[in-house]
Amino acid sequence: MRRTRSKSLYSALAIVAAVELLAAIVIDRAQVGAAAETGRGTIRVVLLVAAAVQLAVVAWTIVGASRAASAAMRAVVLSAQRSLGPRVAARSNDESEIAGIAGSFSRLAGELDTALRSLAEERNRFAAVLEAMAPAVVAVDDERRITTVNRSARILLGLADGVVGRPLIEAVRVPTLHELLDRATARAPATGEFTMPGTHRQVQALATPEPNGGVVLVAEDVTEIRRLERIRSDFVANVSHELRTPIAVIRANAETLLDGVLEEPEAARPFVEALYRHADRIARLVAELLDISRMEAGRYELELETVDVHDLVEDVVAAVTEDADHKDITVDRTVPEGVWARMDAKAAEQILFNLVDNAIKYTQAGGRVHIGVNTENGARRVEVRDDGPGIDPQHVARIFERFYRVDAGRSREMGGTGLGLSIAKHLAEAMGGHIGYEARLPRGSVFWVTFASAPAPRDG
Amino acid sequence: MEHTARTYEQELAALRQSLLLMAGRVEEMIARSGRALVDRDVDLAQKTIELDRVVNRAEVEIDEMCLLILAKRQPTASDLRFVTLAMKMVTDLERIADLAVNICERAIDLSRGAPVVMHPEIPRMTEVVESMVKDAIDSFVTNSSPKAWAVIHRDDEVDEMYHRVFGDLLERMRTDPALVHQLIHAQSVAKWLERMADHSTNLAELVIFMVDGRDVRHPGKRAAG
Repeated sequence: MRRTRSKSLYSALAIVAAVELLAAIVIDRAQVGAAAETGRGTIRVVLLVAAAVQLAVVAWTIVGASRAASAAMRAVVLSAQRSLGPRVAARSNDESEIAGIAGSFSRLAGELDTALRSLAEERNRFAAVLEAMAPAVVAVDDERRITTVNRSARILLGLADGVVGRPLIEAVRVPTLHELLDRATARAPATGEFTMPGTHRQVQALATPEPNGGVVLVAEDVTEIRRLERIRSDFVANVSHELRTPIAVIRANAETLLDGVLEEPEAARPFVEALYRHADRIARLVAELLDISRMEAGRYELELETVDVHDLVEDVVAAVTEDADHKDITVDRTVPEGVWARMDAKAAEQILFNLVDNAIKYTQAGGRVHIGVNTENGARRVEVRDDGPGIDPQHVARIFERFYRVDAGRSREMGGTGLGLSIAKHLAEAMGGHIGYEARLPRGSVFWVTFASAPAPRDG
Repeated sequence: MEHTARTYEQELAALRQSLLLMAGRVEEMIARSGRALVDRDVDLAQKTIELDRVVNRAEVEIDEMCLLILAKRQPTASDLRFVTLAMKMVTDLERIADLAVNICERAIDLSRGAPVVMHPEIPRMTEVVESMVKDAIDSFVTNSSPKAWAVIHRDDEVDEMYHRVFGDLLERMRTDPALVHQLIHAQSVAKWLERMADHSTNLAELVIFMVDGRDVRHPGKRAAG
């Protein structure tokens, strides 16, 4: 359309130029010629002709432009009619051209409005879905500026409000994440895992490149999954290790006996004793593992009754006296009679025995272990204090895990299975209580366990 | 002209990006060195030591970027402050990375012997130092001088912690001479953490200079002069 108009304009200009050139030649000739008067007449005629030609060309151009415009308008009308269907097309034939165009425009505007509204609805729906998604989503453009973030991303990556439009590196300074973007822009998705700075949150991220050079990052918190994986693999490794040691001893001793020592009863005795000791250890380990698995499955039966904490403590102290005396450790207690609590007597004894036994094991010869009780918030809290080396803070969170050992070699040497505290924790919680550890200053440990307090039994 | 201005802006943005990436790497190294020490994780310690090469390379590259901008663009006012600041920041960041490497090397040494006798305050010190570096860089990102001032004030906290740790360790050396070897290692770690805090303070001072145009280094000397 525009080309047609410019073409006619060019031809008009060309003609005007040709006529003016002709006039100039005539003027030139006239000046050279002798008859000036005749010359002037000729000039006038030529100028008139030129003016007329110019007028005609201008008129022609205008008509051409107007034709082009109406053609354009007709095209708009036609396209509007096509999109609005034949019913409107039939009516528009009766209306004047301008009115028809105006009608088409208003219909087009209406259509556009509907389309925009449905697009906005679509966009809002998409935004709501994105916002509600559990995985964190961050999109960046080709210059690594953030274009979209959802709620989970703001929480997981600690993004402040107003990060959209800012470079990602200013919001999250995690090198692994940026390496991921570099790898992803090589036209293939990339995954990686990193720890969020200043936290222990483990994050796994997937970066997918977009055709426009941007990248979409989808990230998830995998801290809990990694923790469970570690516990599971530690568990398998620990069970195998704990079983392997006594089995190796049993096999070696049995071999020695079979190789001839069996014939000399006196020499054989220590080997048989070791066999017995290690078989016993395996039996204990297996029994404890079964206990733990029953507790975890919730199939461990407890019989709750009202027990005097004083009696409980005395029973436990009686059981450890031999070991304590052997190391010259004083076990003293400040537990008055008549402190009643609800507990399964056997389970409570197992817990307390474990805590006191550990305290004696880890206290240096000549040291002191103290057992006390107090009542707070309707619970009886039994504390076992020792003045041993204490537990370094980095281990504290994990000491109640199965097989977790602060000092593996030393605790195994002392005959522990690595399950004691874990079982104690399960038992305490099954009775509705808690168990915990506190560092004792300047040195030593305090392990405590709580039981629900109970009124004195009527017949007691 | 417009084209030149845009390229210049891009160069400044790229410098900023490289600087932040290097800072992120250093922050990661501090966190990892602390974890390697506590968990006696030799593998993590070695991987962290390897990261030092990346940080060293970043230092050289950023220095080059700064020199190129200075030579080609002759920046003025805040741009000039930013470019010179970047050159100084990389030096402090690189020093912090070196100290993290020292801690990792010590973590490897300590993992060989008996369980580490560590002062309970050392993990806490690591956390504070980590947060100081993070906040110093955050104050740079957000152009916030109050945040930078907060970093400078936290340095006193670290100094106090260091003196407490030092006193305690000395006391334990006296009472338990068998542990002297290990306790000396623990003391070195505390000293390096304290130096990291000093470098973080330098970073914060540079940010204050960039934001407010005010030099807050060596306040005593300046007052005297």
